[in-house]
Amino acid sequence: MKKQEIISELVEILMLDDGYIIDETPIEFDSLSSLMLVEFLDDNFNISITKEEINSFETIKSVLEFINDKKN
Amino acid sequence: MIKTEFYLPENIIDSNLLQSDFESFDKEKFENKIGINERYIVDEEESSLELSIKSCKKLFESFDKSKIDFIVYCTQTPKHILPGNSSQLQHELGLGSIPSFDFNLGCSGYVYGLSIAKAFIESGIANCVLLVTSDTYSKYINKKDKSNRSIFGDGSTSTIIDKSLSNNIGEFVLGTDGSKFQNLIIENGGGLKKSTCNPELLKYGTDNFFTKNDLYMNGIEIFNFTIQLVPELVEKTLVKNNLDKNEIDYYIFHQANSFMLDYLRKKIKIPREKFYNDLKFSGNTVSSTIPIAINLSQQNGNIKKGDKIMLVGFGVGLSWGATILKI
Repeated sequence: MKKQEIISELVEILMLDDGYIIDETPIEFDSLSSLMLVEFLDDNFNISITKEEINSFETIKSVLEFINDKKN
Repeated sequence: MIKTEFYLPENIIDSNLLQSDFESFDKEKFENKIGINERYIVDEEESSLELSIKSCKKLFESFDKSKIDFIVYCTQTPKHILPGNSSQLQHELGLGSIPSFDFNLGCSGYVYGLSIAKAFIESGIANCVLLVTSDTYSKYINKKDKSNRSIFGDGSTSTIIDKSLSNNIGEFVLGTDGSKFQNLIIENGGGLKKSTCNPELLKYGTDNFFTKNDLYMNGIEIFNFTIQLVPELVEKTLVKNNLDKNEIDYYIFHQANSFMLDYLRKKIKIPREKFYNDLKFSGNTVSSTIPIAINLSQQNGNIKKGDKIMLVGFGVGLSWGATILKI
């Protein structure tokens, strides 16, 4: 999956408005978007994630870094 | 056919009410993804026992209750800590001095109940078991807990398991992972710590508050557990019953939430038309979701005589169970 596709998925899950900045716009996963993130990571990368890891994400960039770390 | 009935209490909690209580509740997104529009909860004067009396009375409109010789009752929210609901149910329904007991399980409870009933019948201990499920989680959900208030509903079911039905219940795969018990828990009010008068309000996720007197669910860990466990559980259940996936006519999983169910269905590669996914008008009623689904599937023709149904329960414990039911 290409980086831009991952970003698009995350933007949809988080329902971010246009104009977001990958390494600046603050993000927060609520209960529902957390479930969607768990599904997205399991389905596409076979990665599992904890509640604490989800709560630690501050920007889209931090989610991308997490995915990269787990993949390698 | 399997004889099962259910009863839901009268107070409706719909999405509009949740939207008025929680500014951040996104009605459209929640209904579309999680698949729950309404859930029913008891009032202060009603408990799991009263729900089960009503469910059983519905069942007895078309079944001779004098045939019942054992009550097996699944609940985690009994009317009293002791005695269990089953003894009061026996009295209220006028079932004579037949044996009865409660057991404490949540979303895997119905499958476990079937295994208990089958074992009692096959061993000659009972001939006709009344299996009851009944829970009122609403009594333990904090009013400020958006997630749990939007997911759970109260309800009760009753099922008759006699010798002929017992013969049509297949082999079971049952299990527990007690290391994850803290992910779905009510800490206070049990045998260690009493419920406290002014408990500390704790936050989890966004817009969810609870105290240790209330139900707490770590939804992420439950989802992780489920997506790891259930595909393997389905496979093991097929193998244990000498069945191929395409020999199963219909799948009924515990109705936790629509989003999770749809992902499990895709992961296991079950065709949509063979898979029950509907909790729109009752929410997650814990051990009652599977028998409610059986009842409604019989009514709407999705399951018919001769069909092989896979039943899969999973939840608090963490606990799981699956079997095959030939209708």
